[in-house]
Amino acid sequence: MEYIIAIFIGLLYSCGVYLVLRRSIVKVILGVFVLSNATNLIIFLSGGITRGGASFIPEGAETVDPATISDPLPQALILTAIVISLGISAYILALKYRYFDVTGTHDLDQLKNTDQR
Amino acid sequence: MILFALLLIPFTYLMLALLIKKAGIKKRLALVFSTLNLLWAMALIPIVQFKEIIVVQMGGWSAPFGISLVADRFSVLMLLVTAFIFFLTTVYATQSVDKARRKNGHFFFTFGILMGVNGSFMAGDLFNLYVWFEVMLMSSFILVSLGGERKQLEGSIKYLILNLISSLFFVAGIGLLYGKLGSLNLADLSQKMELARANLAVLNPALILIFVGFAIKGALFPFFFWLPASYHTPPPAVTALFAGLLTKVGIYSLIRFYTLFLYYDAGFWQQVVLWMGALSMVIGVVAASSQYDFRKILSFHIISQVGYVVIALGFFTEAALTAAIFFLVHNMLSKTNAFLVAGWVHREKGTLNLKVLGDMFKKSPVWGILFFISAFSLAGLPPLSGFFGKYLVLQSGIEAGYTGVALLALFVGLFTLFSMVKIWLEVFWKKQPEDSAMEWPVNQKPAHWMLFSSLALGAAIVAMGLWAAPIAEYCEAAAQDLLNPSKYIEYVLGPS
Amino acid sequence: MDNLLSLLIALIFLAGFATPLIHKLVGKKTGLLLAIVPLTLFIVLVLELLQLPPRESALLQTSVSLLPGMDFAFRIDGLSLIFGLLISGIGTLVLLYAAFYMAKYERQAHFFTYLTLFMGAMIGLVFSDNLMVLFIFWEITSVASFFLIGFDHHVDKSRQAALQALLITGFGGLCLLFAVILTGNITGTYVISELLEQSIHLGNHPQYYLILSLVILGAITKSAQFPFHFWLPGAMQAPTPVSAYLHSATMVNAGVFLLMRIYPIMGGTMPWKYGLMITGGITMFLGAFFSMGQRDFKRILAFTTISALGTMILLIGIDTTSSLKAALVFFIVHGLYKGGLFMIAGIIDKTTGTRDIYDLHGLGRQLPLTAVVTLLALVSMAGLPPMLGFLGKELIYEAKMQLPDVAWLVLPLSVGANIMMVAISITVYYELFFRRKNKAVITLKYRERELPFYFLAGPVLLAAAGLLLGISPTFLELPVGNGLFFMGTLTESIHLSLWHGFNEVLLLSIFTVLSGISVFILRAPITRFIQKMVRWFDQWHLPTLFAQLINKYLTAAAKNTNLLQHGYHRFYLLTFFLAVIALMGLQIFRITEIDLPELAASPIKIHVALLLLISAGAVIYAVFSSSRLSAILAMGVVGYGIALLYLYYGAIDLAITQFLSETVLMVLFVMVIYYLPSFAVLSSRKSRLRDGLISLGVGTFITLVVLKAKFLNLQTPISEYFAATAYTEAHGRNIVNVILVDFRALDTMGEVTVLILAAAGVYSLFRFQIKTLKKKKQNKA
Repeated sequence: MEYIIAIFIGLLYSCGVYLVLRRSIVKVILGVFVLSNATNLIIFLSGGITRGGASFIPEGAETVDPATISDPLPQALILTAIVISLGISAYILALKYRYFDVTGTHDLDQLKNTDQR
Repeated sequence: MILFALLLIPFTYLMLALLIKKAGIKKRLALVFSTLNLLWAMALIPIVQFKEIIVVQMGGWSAPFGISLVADRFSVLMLLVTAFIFFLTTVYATQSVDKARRKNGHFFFTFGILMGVNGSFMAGDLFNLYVWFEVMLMSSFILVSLGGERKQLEGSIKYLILNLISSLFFVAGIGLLYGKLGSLNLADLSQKMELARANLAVLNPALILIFVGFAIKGALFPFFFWLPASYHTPPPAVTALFAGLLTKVGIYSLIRFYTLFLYYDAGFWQQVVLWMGALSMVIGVVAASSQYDFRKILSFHIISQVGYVVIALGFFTEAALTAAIFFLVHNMLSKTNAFLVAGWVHREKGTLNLKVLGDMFKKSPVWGILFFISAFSLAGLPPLSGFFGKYLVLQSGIEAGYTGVALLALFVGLFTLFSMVKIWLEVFWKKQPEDSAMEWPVNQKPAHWMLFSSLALGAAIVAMGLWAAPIAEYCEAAAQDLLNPSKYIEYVLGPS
Repeated sequence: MDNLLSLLIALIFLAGFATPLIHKLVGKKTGLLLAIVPLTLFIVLVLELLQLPPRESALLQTSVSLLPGMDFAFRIDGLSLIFGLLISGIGTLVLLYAAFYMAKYERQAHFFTYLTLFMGAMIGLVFSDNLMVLFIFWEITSVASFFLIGFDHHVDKSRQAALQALLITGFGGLCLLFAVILTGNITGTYVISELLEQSIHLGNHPQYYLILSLVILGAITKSAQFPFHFWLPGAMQAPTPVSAYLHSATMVNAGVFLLMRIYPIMGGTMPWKYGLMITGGITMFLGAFFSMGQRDFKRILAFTTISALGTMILLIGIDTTSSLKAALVFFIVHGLYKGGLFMIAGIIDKTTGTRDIYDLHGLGRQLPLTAVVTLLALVSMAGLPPMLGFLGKELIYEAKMQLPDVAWLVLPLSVGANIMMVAISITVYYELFFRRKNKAVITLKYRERELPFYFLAGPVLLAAAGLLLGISPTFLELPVGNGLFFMGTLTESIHLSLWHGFNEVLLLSIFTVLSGISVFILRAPITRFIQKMVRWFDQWHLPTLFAQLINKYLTAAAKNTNLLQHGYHRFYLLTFFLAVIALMGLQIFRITEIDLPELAASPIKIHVALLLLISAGAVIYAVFSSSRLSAILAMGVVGYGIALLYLYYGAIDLAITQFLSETVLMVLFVMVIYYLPSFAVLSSRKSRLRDGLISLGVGTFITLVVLKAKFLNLQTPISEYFAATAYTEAHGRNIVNVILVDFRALDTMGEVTVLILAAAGVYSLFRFQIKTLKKKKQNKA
């Protein structure tokens, strides 16, 4: 299964990178979304995928055998990462909106005024 | 608690600022809280001298399991300089930043930066470092775009996307590393690296991803593009804060990461770091001298001077790390002050184009001298702080046998001098071209708070030159700790 | 007594920084008041000279230390005393002189600040006992002279000259710095007295050539040697007191001093000799030759200064006892007459309003005192008795005649240069002071009587000193002997006298004088010839070339910068990805073998695989879709697919969060996209293909990395601890939640902060926008 997921991650990265390299700002933003999903999957996969139960400690028991549950720490990390990227993405979208309002373009190649002299 | 306070102070400000509507009170609170932060950071110096490495296990969970905040001499020095710069830019901003921006949360977001920067300097946990990076970046994204002028938006989109990519690399690296070593705590990871020595090949991809993450934040060649594209767009007070703090966090993390992890595979990393440092140094300075915008020259110089720190890291001896730390501190102070002067010029003339400006030395010799101090310190002229930074880097390079790299660094100094003198000649000495003198309302209000900030920084630069010995001594102690990761591990994880 | 010197050096700097204050208090008397400081120093040094036993040196330790190994310590020995006396003596006179000269200038306070700081640095330079400290003072003199040369900074030429001087001396300074660090690295100390005592000579060290070339570069840039000489005539833009000081005994002589100082440590080898002789010889001749073609008195003096410096460098290069002696004596000679002559140029400029010697005539009657003084100084420059200059020139000839192998080349050059010196001296005096009937009488702005005595004191005293020392040169025997002792441990006693007896040297001198006179008589054609030469040389006019070089560099830099920082966002990203691939590639080529047992892969589940297949299809669709809405929806499908994957592998909280965030983002996206135009195909097919290849490359790399990563767990993860303690210690059954709110609560705090910041950011972004929209509407209305 890991092979399939790894290839899937690779595919997501390919698509994400391709999108990020576009000129249209909307596509770039889509690409960033794809990349961040793919990155989360990397974390998930490196924690080890076990077709185990959820990381709960059953009622009545005090501990749980770590071998039977999926690794909880990567989950916590991904959760944090998802929330953070949600915040940032929301801001990008707002910025995009604002940018289009000011400049009337969504072509990133038009954005070179600040670089060249 | 001693370390957590440095997060709590900005966090409290954020909470209070959400509740309070009035801009005036927000401003005063900002001054109070930045003073508080400065005082707290100052108090850490004697503590760290006594304890050597301050470790706080958050929530009481012992080391590799919970999150540790760690501050050794290097961190504390960075925290102090950060607090100092933050305090002064806050004071500066009360006069320099326009009212609309202040109302719309200028101070709010700068405190976001402070929280992120403080967190990054203290993080003893890889993922926690990532979280602080994000806090810092989120605030800086907003500050770059706050005000919504066209060039600001252009700059901020590049800044944002390129930095997001860096975060993604970083997180992916963390995930892979966790998969390998099963831990996130820096000390624990470092210890486990030692155990995993034979299998570096498996670890290196993860390390490369994290390294690239830091290199983008630190604006090293070939990852610097976001910096010159965006730094000159927000108000000067914001740029000054960025220039002083943001890239330096990347470099700090790189140094920390190198001394805890990368040194295991020195053969590879030393080459990478030396090349990237050398190229950053050269490209930054060449690009800087071709510019005609005050702030763009300074922005490109950030890249060049980060290169000095990185080549010193590449030399990787005690003397070299001492040099790297000293140079980093010098650069934070001098660079910030140069941008503060740019802010004054902008306030007086409404532009930062060298071709249009002139006669600023006549207008105010004091500001002229302040620019002179920071610029010539950046150019490495004695007896200012920059000279000792440069000297230490060169000396350690020669001592470590890298005469060629040191020679390169030496002549980069000449080009630095050239571009600094270019600003001096065009902005301060030249007679302002009459046809290009544009209409700009004369500011009636004297800029005494701005002057205060710049004077304080100028004094710090001079003092750092005159009292280089004790500072270098402190840096040396910090470098010794950096070169001895087992000490760090022992303090964080407890004696094994 | 000894510590008085350290105090005085500090006092000069203090006075420099206090000058603006002093100027506020005493106004135009600033220069007179400031002159007290170097005067005191001069007196102290004279006493020191009388008191110090021969061949002894005094070391003054201070408690000031910049860095370990960089202590402020001063040494008083023969060499530093000679330089120190001239610097402080002429410094006193220059300050007095400037007090009147600068009286009508604006920003006098600035001027005196720079000048005093420069003086302090110069004194510090010659007395410091630490090479690093010497370097620091060296750099300060460069910076201070930058400010002095560019004092009239509204004038483009001044700025240009200041920039050139700074860049050239700055370049030399960097070379010197590197050489000093290398020396310190080899010997383990920067302290000069230790180096001298241990009689270390670097000649056999493998890095000797590097160090030597760096030192020589440092010295010849500072001392304006060919081909770096051109900053010196440019520096004539500075006010005259500055020229009088910088180019007589200070700034430009720092290079000479440096060579003398380090002579015992690295001098005397073949590369040292030939390097210095060649540059010195060329400079000496060219300087003298070109001085004839100038009209401006100050420029004439500038070129003769270049020639004189060349002479000194050449003498150091010849490297015999008599040549070193000649160099030292000639330094004194030159300092005395050149300081005086520059001041005279200033007096003539002040009184007549011009410095062009061919515009002036007949000043002899109007400025009698000046005429006498000028005569004395010029006689010294021409090397005629009874002035000290005669002695200097005799010594030089003697030294050169004793030179065994290259005398045939050096001697004619030297005689030629001296002939030109004689001729130019006569020309200057004739043009200025002899009266010609066909020209109108020059009207003076000041009569000599109206000039204050302190304005005239400088040239008068300097000329008198030259005369006095010329008549009884025995005064010089002691200091010069002491100086020589510290240059090369020469112990033979020194004898100086004006009359050397009737010998070859005297014959040569007579020949020189006679030829000089003939050149003067034939000066019209010769001057024309030289001016033609100058014009011819002007195709390589070095200042212009230098400026062009800078401009070329700027254009090239701008071009390359625009290539690199081009503004195309996607190419920046491309660079990032390529760099990462390159790093990874390097890595993979380097280490290939892994020697670890692999973990078994978990079994393939058909329905999960199907789910991934659908998601994969969706993401590919999203990439190539031209409809915005369907692309976003497809992206949503991918997100939901990943959420299901999380769910399948037991990450319930994660799945829920992923669902929620994906939904929120889709909604936001659709809302924003509503305002945007539809996709257009913006990039060409070629660039799409290229991007496609690169993205496939990145994807493959990531797949490989992830696969490699997967099967090797080197360590047991820390999360086992969480499973064990989540309930017992943290009292929660949902381990993920416990981690978030307890074990890693700090992360959550950061996360919340990001959310708050983002919300506030969006809020302020829109609030600003509403304002601008309102404005737009108002404008339209």
